[in-house]
Amino acid sequence: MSAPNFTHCAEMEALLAERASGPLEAADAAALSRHLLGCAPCQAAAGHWETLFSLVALAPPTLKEEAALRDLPARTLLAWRLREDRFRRLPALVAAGLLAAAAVVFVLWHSPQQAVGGSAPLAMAVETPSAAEAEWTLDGTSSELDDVDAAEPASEDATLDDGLALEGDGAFFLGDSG
Amino acid sequence: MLARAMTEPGDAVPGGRRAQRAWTLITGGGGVSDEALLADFFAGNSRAFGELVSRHQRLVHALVRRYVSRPEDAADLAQAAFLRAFAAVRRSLGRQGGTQTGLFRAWLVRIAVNVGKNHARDIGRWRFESAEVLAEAPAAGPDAVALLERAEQRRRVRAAMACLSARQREVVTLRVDGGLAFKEVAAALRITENNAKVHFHHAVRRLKAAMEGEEG
Repeated sequence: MSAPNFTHCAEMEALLAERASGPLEAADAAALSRHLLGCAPCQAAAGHWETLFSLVALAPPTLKEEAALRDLPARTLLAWRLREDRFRRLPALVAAGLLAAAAVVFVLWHSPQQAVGGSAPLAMAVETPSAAEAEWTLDGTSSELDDVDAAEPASEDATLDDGLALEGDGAFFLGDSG
Repeated sequence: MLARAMTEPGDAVPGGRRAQRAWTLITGGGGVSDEALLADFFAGNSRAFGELVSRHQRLVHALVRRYVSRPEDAADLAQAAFLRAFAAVRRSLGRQGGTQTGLFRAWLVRIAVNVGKNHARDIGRWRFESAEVLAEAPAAGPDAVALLERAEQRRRVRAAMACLSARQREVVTLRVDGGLAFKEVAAALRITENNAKVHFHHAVRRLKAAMEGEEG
């Protein structure tokens, strides 16, 4: 098989390759066209360059791809509108979420106050250890006892004293020590 | 030359043929700049959106085809590229109050290339098939030798493409698939125009050697 000759006039080789692969600057395109008019070997070389890039190119779009392309403007517009709708609804969704969160916080915040006023404390409030649990605690190591002392009031008075400070702080409500 | 018509205004404007003809009259059949159409669209004219997509869809589709494993995925990637480009332009309009002439096409090309590269990274594939892989069936007769010779050239050129650096391959395929000028190739890849040409000619030297019979 004879090897194709890509080069006759060396100064034109780069332009021939560029022209076969895509657009040229206007001045370069004009200069190359003038040269090709009088240079048959470079015309043949131009054909070889075009063959080379046709081997690199992908196959033309199939009928299926062409059909998808015809639909592209309409489906892209639809996708854009859906996206816009989502963005428009986003602030309302965020506001609704914040309101719901605020409502939950409000309920949790006010429930301990109701408990101090005489109603039953929330189930999630920390419960005072039962007698059996207290015994188990007493059986523990001294460091465990220290931890318990630090975390819980030592006497009823302390509970009452701290009760004022704890009032309104549902998360640390110690409940009825009775 | 591999002539490719990448700008085909009025391929499919939403609203039917009559509406399309009327819109062609309004826009002068493509004489309105992209930026004017963008301003029109963001002012509420959805037909301007269709005109812009129609104008650039072949270019975007051609750019992303190289990165898909299934041809039908190319339209999805093209759509994603358009949506991102419109969103980017709107952000730019919000910040600067306007866009420069030619900026939409430049962004669109860059976004299309990035969408394609991300997709290819996800699926681990890049297409080397040439235009005639499917068209040429084994044949007998006087043309058989020529076909065999061409099949051998194609095999060597594909092998050489696979051996190019990623940047060299990108430059070549942006030229061949998208018909982009070196200035546009450079903008899409964020390199200088001179750098794009250097990559191109390094790649071309290897491809030429492969076609001449030397293994790439």
